[in-house]
Amino acid sequence: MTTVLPPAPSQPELAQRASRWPAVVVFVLASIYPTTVMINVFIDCFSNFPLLAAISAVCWILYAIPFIILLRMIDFFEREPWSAIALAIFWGAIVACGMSIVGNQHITELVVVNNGTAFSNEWSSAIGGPTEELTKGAGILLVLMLSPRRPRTALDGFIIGAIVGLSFQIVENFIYTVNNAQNYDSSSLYPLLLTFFSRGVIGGLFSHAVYSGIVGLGLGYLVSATHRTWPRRIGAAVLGLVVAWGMHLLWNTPDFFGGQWGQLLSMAVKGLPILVLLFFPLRAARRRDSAFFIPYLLHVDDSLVTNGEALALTSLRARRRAVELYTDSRGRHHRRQIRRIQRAQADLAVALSARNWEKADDAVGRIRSLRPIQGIPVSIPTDLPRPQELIDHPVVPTEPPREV
Amino acid sequence: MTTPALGEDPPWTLDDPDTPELPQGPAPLSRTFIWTGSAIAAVVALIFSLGLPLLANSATRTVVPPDAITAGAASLEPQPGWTIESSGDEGSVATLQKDGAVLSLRTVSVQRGQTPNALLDQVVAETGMRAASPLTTFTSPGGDPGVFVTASDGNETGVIGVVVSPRLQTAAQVVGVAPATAPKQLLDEMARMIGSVRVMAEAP
Repeated sequence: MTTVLPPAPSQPELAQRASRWPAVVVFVLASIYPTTVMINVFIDCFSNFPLLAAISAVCWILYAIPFIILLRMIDFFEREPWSAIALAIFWGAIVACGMSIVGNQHITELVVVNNGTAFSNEWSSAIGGPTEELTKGAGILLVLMLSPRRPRTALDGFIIGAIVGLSFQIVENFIYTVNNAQNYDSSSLYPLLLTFFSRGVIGGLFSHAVYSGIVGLGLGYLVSATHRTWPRRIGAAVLGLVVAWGMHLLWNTPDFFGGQWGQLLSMAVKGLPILVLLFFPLRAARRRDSAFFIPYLLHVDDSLVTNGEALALTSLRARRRAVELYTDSRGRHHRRQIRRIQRAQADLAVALSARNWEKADDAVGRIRSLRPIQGIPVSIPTDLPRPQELIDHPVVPTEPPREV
Repeated sequence: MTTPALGEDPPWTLDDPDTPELPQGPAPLSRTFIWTGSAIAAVVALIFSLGLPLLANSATRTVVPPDAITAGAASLEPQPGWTIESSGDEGSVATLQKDGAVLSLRTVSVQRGQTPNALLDQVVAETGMRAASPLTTFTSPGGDPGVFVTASDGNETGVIGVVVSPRLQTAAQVVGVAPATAPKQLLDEMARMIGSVRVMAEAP
């Protein structure tokens, strides 16, 4: 058998990886002051409204779970390492929040002395709020550089960005809940319900996770698209930041229409462009990510992954379609098993791309053990159209990587 | 299955000339990239943790916001809905009014070493009301220490606060009084206005 997979990186190559200590030092030093700010904020919250703060903390953490599941579904192939996720959560929830609390307070003061209180009441959140994209963006860049696994596509940046943003959002919502309790002088659950409905249910989809996800897409491209020119990579990072800034500004502007219904209409008018602006770059990044991994499965024996099965992993929709096609004919009780096969196939692609034979071996074992269902070998239907993306761009650069 | 040797493939891989070429993945990040990226993050952290507070403190310490009212050397930013009954430009007391509540601002001279808490006790005693909440301390936008308290006397309720500038030996006194049935929002607005008090070197 001749070699079809590129050789694994040799030890000297790995040793050439640049030291990341400047990023470590900046991460640690930048965390100190905002952490003290946030400790004081949390102490205030829990000492003034202990029960409400505790219930709110639990509620907002639970609120994050569906978003995390969604992010895991988007990041289907190579999921971010837990250490990178932990750093992203810490930065979003503590460091970026602490920096933004200090920054926003002073930006509001500057707006007041320059434009007056009335103007500040209307506009200071629109002026100060978007600066939070800088505090979160700095953390996304640091986490991408510190991640134990080299980000491969812009999607990695999106996931880290969305986690930073989501953590920020959760802590901000918690603080808003306690602030509302102070405003209403009530330790009942009313402030929590009010904040949960306005900032969680209505505003949750158009909030920090989306803005920072966009910033992360740009930074992920900067870090991973090493075959592109510098102006293009830097342009993508700046564009991501500008778009996120604009989205945040739009969301924080005073309502376009008056009254309660007008408020809801304003939210729809502001929110729809935000979701549209997220959808297209995210879809492109997700396709690029699939296009990176799927070719590895096309080099694998059909007993493990057929070409059709490999292509069925391209997107969430294609995966669901494959599961439905199989279970429609064989019974819905096989859904879970088919999903586990797809998971193992994705893990195999990731292991092959990393030349990690141990993990590849494990994935192969799982596929083989899952294959026979009631004694019948499983082959996930292959009548799915071949994604145009894979035909147009059989993937990334094939020239040998160079240090950038 | 045995682990293949370096440069070899596992036995379940195919040698198919029609399959697409395999991606190499991004190149490692260079030292320059990591230094530059870290420097950018450090600059952002410095701006938010140090630069903005310094800028705001220097820019706002001696500036009166455009829509603030003044009484002698003190200024205060009215909340929405509060109307100016009398301005302190000519005298030393400014008065605001809303829904039966009245809030007055005046400037007084204080002796060196006068603390905000001691001055507040004195002002509360002068109004004939009693403190009805713990003291809330704060730092004014100009960087001076301040304190306020909710007070009541049965028929009336209110918020009383002071901001003392030890450097200028000047203090701003704010007395807000409302009917006992006044909504809490009114008292919150009074507290917010007290939080916006600035003491300046001289009357603007």
